[in-house]
Amino acid sequence: MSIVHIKNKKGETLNFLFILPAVLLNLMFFIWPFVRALYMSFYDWSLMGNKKFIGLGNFIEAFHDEKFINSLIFTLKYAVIVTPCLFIVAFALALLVNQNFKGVTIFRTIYFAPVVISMTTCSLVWLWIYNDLYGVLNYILDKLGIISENILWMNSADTSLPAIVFMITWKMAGFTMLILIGAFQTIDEEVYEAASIDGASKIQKFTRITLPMIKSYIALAMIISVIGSVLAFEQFSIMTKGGPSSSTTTTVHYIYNTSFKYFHFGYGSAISMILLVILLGLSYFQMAALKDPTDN
Amino acid sequence: MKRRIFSLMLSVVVLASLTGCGGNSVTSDKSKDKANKETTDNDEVELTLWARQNYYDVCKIASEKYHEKNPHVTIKVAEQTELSDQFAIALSANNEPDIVSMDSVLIPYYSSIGALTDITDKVNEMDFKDTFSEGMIRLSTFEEQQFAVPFGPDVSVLLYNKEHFKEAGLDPDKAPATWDELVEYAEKLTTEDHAGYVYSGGDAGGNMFTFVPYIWSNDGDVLTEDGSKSLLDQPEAIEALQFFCDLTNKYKVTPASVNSYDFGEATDAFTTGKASMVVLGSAAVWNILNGEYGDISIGISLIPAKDGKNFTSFSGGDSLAISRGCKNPEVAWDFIQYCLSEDIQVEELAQYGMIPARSDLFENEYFNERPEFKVTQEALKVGRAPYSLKYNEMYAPFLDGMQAALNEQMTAEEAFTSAAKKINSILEE
Repeated sequence: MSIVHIKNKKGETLNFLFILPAVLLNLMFFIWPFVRALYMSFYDWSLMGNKKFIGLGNFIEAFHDEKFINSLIFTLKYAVIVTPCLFIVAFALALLVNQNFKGVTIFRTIYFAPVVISMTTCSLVWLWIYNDLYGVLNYILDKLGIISENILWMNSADTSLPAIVFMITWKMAGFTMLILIGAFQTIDEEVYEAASIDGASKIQKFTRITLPMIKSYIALAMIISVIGSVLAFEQFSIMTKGGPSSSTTTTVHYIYNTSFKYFHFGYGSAISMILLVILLGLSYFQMAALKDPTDN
Repeated sequence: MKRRIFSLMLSVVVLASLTGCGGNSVTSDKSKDKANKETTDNDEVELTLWARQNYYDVCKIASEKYHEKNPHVTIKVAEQTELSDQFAIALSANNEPDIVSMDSVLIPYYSSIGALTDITDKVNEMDFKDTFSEGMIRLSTFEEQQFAVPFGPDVSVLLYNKEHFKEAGLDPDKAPATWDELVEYAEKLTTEDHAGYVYSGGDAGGNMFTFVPYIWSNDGDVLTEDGSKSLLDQPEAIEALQFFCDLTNKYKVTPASVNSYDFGEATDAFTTGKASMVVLGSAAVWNILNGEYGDISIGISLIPAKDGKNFTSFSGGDSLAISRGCKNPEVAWDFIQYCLSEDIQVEELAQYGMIPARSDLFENEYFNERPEFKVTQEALKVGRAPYSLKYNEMYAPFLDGMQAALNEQMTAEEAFTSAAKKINSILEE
């Protein structure tokens, strides 16, 4: 695949100019704050006044910080549970709408629509649905005779985690579904036809042809999805407030509290660096594991 | 193929990182505002004021009215939903507003780091300086200097549903005054359709506002007077926690879910008729009385005190302060004084059900019409708040401990004793 080269009269390439706005924005809102945060992470940095250089002090503290470690464990637990849920549902939906019947686009739109709601709005609405006293879910379950006592959804991680996973699956499966639909359509029909001639069943076609051929798309979807899950913040902050007893506090929520509620900016920056390294590691691992062997 | 995937991934990641950056426009707007501030020869003054949601409208109106009287002064008012966060960010970028209407409990911290201007002399010159509530003045003081002045108090009071009272055979004009009465009433009010009593125990803001007065009325406290040590491990505080645990686990009048409720959820539980009694703030009182939640007949009273004697309330709300970067503190102070005048405190705050900060303005036409506001005034007189430079940080173990006790993972004594230990180590840092 070649990149189109646009040259002006003098023969200089204008490629650079086209990407310049994006590069500038990225520099201002990502690279520069990142460099600053990295700098801050080596200091005992309160809001104003004296900042003290403490080298790796913050990082060492982080490894002994029970709350930080618990937040990592919880966040990873959440990512490990929500990712398969998202992918199973996304695959099911993608297979359903990967056909060309009349009105299929409407279904694709319906399944994708929740993706574009803001996470904050979504959390507030579902918080209302899940409320034990006035929420509509308990009301319906009660009327259907499924429960006799109100379920206190947000009162413990045992119920709030599944409840939030369900909400996130509803909200985000459409995104992965979209990538998968695109992926399915890159596979030539003839490959399936040839397999049929050889006597392959539907399942065999799926596992031996479809899955391997869309490996790089799965990698793409999974990396984005896992990054999103590891960075989960609003849904827990709004719905469980990180509780009870900090049992549902994700790492980003903890970073937010550390910096903006407790005013420990240096420490907050340090733990966000640790989180970054963890994310880079996870992404690299996924890319390696899902590497398409047929790629040159 | 590999390159295409890679460039696709890269562009998606860049896009994703950009979509997360919507909030940054605030900083760039504010730097433009700061650049516009000028004290030119013709005395044109432009100042910025940041306010929280509850007081934004009042500040905006105040700035407009002030401009009419002083055409050369423009006060630009901006609403910040996360005011403390935004103020902290602005301070670190030397970009802070000139005046800030801030949560009173955070004033000690911001005074301690030098973010606010010392206004001790200015406050002492005010005629009505003795009309402010002791609690709010204490919060505006740091090392015996004044750094803020009370503006819009918010106090916590007990609300109850009169219809539910009637249905339960209780006198709708008589609220529970002691802890025993609270239990007695709540037991009668707890039915299949509604719980007797709820509160917001999910976050620090809601919890402190609606639970801590119970500790105070039991002659206990969260911290010592100077904010240096925690008093949660004392029997008075533990008894209050035990009382709340009993409400849920022994008397079963409060669902355990209040452990995760924020202020809004507790309000909704009450206004939808799913709870008969709740502790809320004076701002919520106004909204309910104003019909914003439909037809619901409510009564208001002070929060039940242990033996019906030592009534207290949590006195939060906003105080006005001049930040250290203000280029024209004289004009800023003049505006602040205007905000404390009858024109604003009565015509804007009181008329819309918010309590004036000055007790000499309590007798006004609007309040005299609404007997409910007598209760909120009483609450302000007995209102207090814990004084701490590490308010949010020291509250976290409090909340964790309380929630563990309510969920029966620890006894009340274990919960508060370990919370006190953690708080003390935070305060010692």
